[in-house]
Amino acid sequence: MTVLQKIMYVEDEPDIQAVARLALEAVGGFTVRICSSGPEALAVAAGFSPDLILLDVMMPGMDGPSTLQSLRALPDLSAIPVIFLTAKVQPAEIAQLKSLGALDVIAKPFDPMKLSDQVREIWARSHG
Amino acid sequence: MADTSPSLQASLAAIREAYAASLPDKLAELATLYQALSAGGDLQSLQQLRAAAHKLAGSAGTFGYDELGNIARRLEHALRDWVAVGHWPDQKELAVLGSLLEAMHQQSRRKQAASTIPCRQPVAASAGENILIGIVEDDTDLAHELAVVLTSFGYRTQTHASVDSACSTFGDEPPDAWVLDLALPEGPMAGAGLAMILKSSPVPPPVAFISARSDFKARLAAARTGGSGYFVKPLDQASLVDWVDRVTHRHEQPPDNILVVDDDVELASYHAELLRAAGMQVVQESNPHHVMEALSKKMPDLILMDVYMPECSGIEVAAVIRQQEAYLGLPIVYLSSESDIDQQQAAMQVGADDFLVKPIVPEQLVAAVRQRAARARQLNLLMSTDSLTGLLKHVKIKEQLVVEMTRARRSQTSLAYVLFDLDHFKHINDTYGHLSGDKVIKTLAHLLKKRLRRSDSIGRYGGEEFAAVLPECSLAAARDVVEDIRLRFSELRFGQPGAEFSVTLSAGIATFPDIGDAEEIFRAADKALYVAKEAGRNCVCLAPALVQEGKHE
Repeated sequence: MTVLQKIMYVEDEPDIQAVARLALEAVGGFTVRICSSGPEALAVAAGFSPDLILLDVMMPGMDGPSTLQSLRALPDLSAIPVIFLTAKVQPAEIAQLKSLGALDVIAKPFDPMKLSDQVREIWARSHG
Repeated sequence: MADTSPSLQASLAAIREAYAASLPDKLAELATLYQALSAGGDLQSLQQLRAAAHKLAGSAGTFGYDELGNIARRLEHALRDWVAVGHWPDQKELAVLGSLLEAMHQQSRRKQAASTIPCRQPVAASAGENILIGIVEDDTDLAHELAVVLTSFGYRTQTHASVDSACSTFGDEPPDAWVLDLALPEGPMAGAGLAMILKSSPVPPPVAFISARSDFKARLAAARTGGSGYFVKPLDQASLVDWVDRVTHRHEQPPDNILVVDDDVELASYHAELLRAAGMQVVQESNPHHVMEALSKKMPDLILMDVYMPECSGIEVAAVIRQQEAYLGLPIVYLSSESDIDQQQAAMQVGADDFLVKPIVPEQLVAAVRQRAARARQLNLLMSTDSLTGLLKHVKIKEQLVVEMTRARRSQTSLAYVLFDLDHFKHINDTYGHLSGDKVIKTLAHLLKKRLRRSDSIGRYGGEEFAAVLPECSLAAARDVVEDIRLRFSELRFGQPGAEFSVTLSAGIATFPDIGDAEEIFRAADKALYVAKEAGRNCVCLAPALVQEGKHE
């Protein structure tokens, strides 16, 4: 089982970026790279070579699902595990997001003290 | 793994503070978009507002503004639906959006996280006097009137004239239910906004609206906030009190009593446990020969019985039960491991009410039993109670007096019997109509239920006469409580604004063991009531025998 160490978080909101960095780095002990948009994520992903990507669903311009699609088209990232984050919590929407090939969906707002545990749990479930 | 070091907490606090500092700007952005929308904006402004609400819905909770986030989510959902179908919000819908924004604004000024609306404690069955009702009404006369009515029914009240004032007390004891005017100083739908705030608390309290409007749109707006009551002005006080009683569970239901008959002790225990886990009281009987005995010990609300038992079948047991008139209305539900239609029909013919096939899903068993038991109990209630007031019928209250007197004699305690009669009731019916008269009757029934104890029995004699049996109650205590009821009732106002009226009552009291015979007590209470009427009404009199003998004066 691959050890989860490097996480890329794609999120357009600065507030959430700051708290997510804290939640994943300080609380979770991960190595984190934050990207502010889908295009930035595409540019950075190959060089950073993350173990996992957290993707906000609703972003201006390129949204989460289309970012995922483009990431999958990149040579080294075709199998990269992805978790969506969204404030939409309707079961149908979650099912739809999962059907795009995401490991799971984390509901926003997240609790900064628990985000890392949530991520680890999903990781363990899909890599166990 | 979670690191809770001070430095981490400090960083988190700093980020939260930064978020708090940026909140006014975020809300201002929402307000600007909302204004553009109200001024006749385009579909884009609808989408922009939705996107902004979505952001808040996803972020506010992370920074400790859970309620604000929840309201933002509702705002987003409304907008999402409208964007999806290309619906343009009308004035009223805009007003609802406005009240949501206002609610968010108020949330943003509140302290974060844990210091928001505290959890309501579940209302204790015996809490009675401790139930607190929040009233938000800017018409001070009406607010006062509501407070008086609810107090007279044993509730405590807390009144506010505005959303702001109501919000400012959130840190204190949370009311168990709220009565909100839809229109408040903050806006024509500000009450709905406040309801949204209340709805987002961990255990949302019940909310009712009072409003001058009775149109569907206003009612819908109220319903969307989770409001379970809606009362149009001028208020029907009795219905409002009914609602408060209902939502604060003052009409506490005793648990369902179920008799499980099955020769398979293990299976019977399993079914019994399932039902007990659902809050029912269960008696198990594994020998069908002992069913009649079990019935006479304690009358259940329902029998759950296996069809196949050695010696005699469940169908035969049912036939025996149905031979007795007292058990004609008792629901019988069969359990069978066979889905044989013929067997089922045979069972139904002797008066089974339902047929469940083993192995049964636990939820189905509980649901089937609960629903049948509730129906049966409802029917029994209908047969023994007065339809207008829900009080015991004449015959039943007399029975109750005999039962309680026997008990009092055995335990050597005292007992009081009270007769109440509304003064000049015919005049009220003639002047204000029978509907008003019924309302007065219902209101007195309510008041009696509220002011008397759970162990007391209350009945309506028919017409405007009521009776109550108060076990373990001395003459002095009875006189105090009846006097209190008389006073409170006389303070209530009925009718429409401009045509208001009040009603008084007279009462007569007789007590055991001063009078030792049930028939004598009836007569004595009746005489006392007559004396009260003769003395000019609106007063409470003791049975003449008690007064003359000076036993308790």
